[in-house]
Amino acid sequence: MGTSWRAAFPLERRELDGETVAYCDATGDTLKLAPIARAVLDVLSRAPADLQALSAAAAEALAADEEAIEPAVADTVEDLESLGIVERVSL
Amino acid sequence: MPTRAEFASWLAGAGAFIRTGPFIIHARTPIAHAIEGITTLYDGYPVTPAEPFADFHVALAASGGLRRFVRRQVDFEFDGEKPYRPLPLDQALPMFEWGLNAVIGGTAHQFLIVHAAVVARDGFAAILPAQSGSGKSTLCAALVNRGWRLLSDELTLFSVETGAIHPLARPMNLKNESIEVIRNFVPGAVLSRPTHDTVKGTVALLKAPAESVARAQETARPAWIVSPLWQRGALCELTPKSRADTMIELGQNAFNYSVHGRRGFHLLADAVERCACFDLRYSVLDEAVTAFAALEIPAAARAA
Repeated sequence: MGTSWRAAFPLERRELDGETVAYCDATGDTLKLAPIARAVLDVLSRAPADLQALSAAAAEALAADEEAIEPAVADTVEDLESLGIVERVSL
Repeated sequence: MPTRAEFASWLAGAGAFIRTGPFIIHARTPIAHAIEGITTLYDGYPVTPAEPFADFHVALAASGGLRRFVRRQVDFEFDGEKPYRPLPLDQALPMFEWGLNAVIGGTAHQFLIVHAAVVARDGFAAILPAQSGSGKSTLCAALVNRGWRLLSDELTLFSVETGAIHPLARPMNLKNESIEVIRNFVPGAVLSRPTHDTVKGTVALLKAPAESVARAQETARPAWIVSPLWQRGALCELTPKSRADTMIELGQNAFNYSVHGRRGFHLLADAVERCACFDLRYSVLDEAVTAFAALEIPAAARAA
């Protein structure tokens, strides 16, 4: 069974000239979300997803090739996990 | 208004109540050079010997620690506590200002407070967030002596209710070379005697312009956020900055962001959305002042 992730908590978000900033209630931090992070969090805020589903969603959102974008999505998920914004789940 | 002698006698006795911006500060000290500095810098402010209420009760007192036998020291007292380490006695005046900044930043949670200078023109505010050493206070001192109104050189007070910025026109903190730069830029400037060997180097406090003190109840609407950086020899350059990056910078410079949580986040985002945002690099004050004079009021700020 593959690994899936979910959003650890909802983030307050604002779009500023096409860029996204988010407020993390748990830490009090404000983050600027890269487009890939935004795409990943869009998915995970609705339901848990695995790397394949996240890559597919990011590829669609960014008009990129799914296979090519997968390493960047994996890095992003790792970053978000280290920040405590997403967490692993067992499905 | 009291005479300077009355003001001094109140400070040395039961305390003077100084109204500055939205706050009343109850201050007292027996230290002669601190009294001289405070009465010089706050001459012209509404000051009384008694008030039914004060926001902050502060005092400067000679320290009673063992170090007093080696070098005399001063304590900053806030509500009867000593929240900071004592400093050498000759630093009493800067300690008064630094201590006030810290207690306001740490306790006045009716405002969202950002560590930034802020000046206003025609009711619209320019916010100058910057790290220490960036030339923020020097630029602020120059601007308020060239047509801008001083709201604060250190603390930007956003009303949590309306997002408007409340003035807190207090003395401006100049460091090292900036002291001479401003002496030359502002003939007749009222400055405290320089204090040497502080953690910030040599510091002197510049008295706020009388008009800014008189208009201490007039709020301003955020219109520009300009992050200044003084660089020796740099050509003056005002570069548009992303609103998202500006938002992150403001959040990092906020004293009490976490106290306000999501509300603070949206309040800052609302302000950033309405403002024109820039980085400013400069080396010559006159050029920076000219760049500020050319700032146009953003339509979103007017509409707010």
